Amino acid sequence: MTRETRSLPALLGWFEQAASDPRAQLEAALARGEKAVGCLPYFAPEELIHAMGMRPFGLWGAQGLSSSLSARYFPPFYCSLARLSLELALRGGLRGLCAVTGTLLCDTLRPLSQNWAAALPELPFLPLACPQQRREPFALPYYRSQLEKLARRLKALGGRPLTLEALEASLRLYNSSRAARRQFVALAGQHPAQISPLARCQVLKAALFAPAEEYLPRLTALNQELTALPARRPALPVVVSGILCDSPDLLRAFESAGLTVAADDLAMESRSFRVDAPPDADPLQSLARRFCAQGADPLLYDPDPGLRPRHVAELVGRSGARGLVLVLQQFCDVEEMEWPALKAELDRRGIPSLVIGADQETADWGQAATRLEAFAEELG
Amino acid sequence: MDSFSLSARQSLLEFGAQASRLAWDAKKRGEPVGWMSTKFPAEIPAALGLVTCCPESQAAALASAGQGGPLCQAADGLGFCADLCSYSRIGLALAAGCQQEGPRIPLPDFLLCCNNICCNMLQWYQNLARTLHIPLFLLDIPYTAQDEPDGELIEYLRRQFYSLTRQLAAFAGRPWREEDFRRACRGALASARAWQEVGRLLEDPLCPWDGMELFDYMPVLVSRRCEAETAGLLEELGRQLAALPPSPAPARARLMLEGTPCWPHLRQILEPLRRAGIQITADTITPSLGFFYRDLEGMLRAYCGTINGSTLTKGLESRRQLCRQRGVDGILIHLNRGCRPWSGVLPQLGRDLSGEGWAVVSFDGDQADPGGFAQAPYATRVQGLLEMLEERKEAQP
Repeated sequence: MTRETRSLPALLGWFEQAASDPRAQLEAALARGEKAVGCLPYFAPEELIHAMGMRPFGLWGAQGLSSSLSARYFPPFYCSLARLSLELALRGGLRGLCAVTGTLLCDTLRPLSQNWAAALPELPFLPLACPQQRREPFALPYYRSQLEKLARRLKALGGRPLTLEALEASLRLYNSSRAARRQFVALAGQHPAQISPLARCQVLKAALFAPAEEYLPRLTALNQELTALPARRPALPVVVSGILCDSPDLLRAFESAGLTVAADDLAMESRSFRVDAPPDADPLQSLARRFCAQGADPLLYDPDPGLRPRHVAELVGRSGARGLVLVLQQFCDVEEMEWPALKAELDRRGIPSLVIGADQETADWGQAATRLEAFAEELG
Repeated sequence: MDSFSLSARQSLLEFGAQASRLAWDAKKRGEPVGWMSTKFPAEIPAALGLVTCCPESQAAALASAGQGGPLCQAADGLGFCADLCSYSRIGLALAAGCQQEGPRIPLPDFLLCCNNICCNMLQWYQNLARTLHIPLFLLDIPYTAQDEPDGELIEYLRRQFYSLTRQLAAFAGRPWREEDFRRACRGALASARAWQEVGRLLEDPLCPWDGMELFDYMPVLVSRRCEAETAGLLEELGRQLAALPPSPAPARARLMLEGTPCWPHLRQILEPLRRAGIQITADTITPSLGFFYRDLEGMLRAYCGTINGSTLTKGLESRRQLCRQRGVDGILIHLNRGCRPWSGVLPQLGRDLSGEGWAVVSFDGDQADPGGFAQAPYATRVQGLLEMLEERKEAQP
């Protein structure tokens, strides 16, 4: 990278472009002859796909679409991430992908896997079953076997044979990327003047679409730029929780209200890069261990039922946030079911909280903006 | 003499109703009482003599008795969104002591959860464990989107089984005895066979009773299927039903009900069908409680094959087979707002079944929240179904 491309505006411009035009990223991959695999939420084993010479391509719904073709498969009371991911595929927005993979960790992903297979037989859905007894020793061999099965199916679709060396290299690359993202999250919270909530989201979201080899050096450079700048204590730092919060209008509403994202508890952001693959002589085992080490996530079972609400409340405290905003995806059972326990824990600790209902089909965020302003006043 | 006045029916209903009395008695004796998800392998607690109740059955019973609305509202007051499964909302309201009317089950001292029908089950039970401060014993059967469980899954389940039975035995303060487990399995298998035979009576074109009656016996199958006397009671029911005089003529049409019944409005749902001379001869739920197996591996495989644990391909095959066996002409699909994993595949399943020649219509409702159903659109759908059935009849040579 030249001095010019290392400048803060140039770097942020690159992330913005990568995050807001996934199709361009996909076209570039296809033009290079790469095979691309759509990665639905959650915990996609990107390293495995990468190690087989394929491009993991994030698939978390779509902004600016509305359900029409997918309404043939899903009644309206389903989360927009699933409906719009299917919609995007049905409208041809995913042409060029050789497959889509997804874990089946919620009650919308279950029927999505079946509807996808029925609606798009030419774009195979490769399921990845995940154990919930992750702390038990027998979960690891089971999950490892499912990763092996996925690898076999990817190979049949044109992926390179999986070698230990390639997977080790991919694990190193993605661990570095995760570490860089965690560092960025911390830096973004200290540099509200340079990193708006929208820019923060774009930097993190770009990782879903851009090649890891191109993403990491830019994020490293961005972190260096931010580190060199004086940190500033934001006026109204908050933690944002939920599945995702990537609507530009909603993120601008955070900024307009004077709210800064001190940390997030979003499935698409920090929950996806909180845990690294640990060192292991068997790299596939390492990847399995990465999943089994996850916890304090509403999608996952923890033997200690108080772990998750404590974790989120402690995140608020650790990050210096003054409150929590839950961006609740409409019809998301997972977030809806856990909110009362989370709210009780936040209330017990005197942490203010706000719930904003969200849907990727939402066009008007005016009401959310008003509520964010009122919340900011409450915090101020 | 009709099916409602059979002595075997009264015996079975009384036997089913005893389940909650037994739970209350156990509670009074100071024994722990568990809440258990419907498709948890009941053979496990039965082998240890642990007393359990099923909050899903209780939610269905309360919804039928008109208590679904108040309890769902109570759950709303606890912060649980109205979009969530209404059985779990009612269960959470019960656990919070919100029940005002209707029969009660004791609050649990432990939880037996199996997520083989939905992911929400686990979150529901985790919530119960958190708020009631009681242990949760989980049998994790992940959804795999495969037609059959693979060997690795069975090994994962087998090792969980050993771990779970050790933990539960320690909790119960009783040793795990293989003989007790085998006895519970024998009871469950005998019940499953007898239950299947009762259902098969509906294959007769002149069967004089309606398949919806089978739902009356579901509490027995859910809570007491492992007990030695259950099969005998079911066999006697089968004998008495078979001895009823046949209908003078076949029903005008035979339907399959797809989905959990819309309990709060069941009368409004069935009334226009009965008026039109339509008989329900098949449904998806009642056969789903017959688990058939020969050994532990077979049992674990059987519990993977729940309705929501199956693929669309396998689900279509089982419905196709059932509809053919039961001489079904049309299918009434309940798009149950309270059940995401099920309702999410029903539009496609309905198209597939329609493509194979069955008349198919769907209606919106909810298994326990009365707010999910509207009479006028339902009446229109039923009218459409009747017209389709007539057209098909006229088209037949």
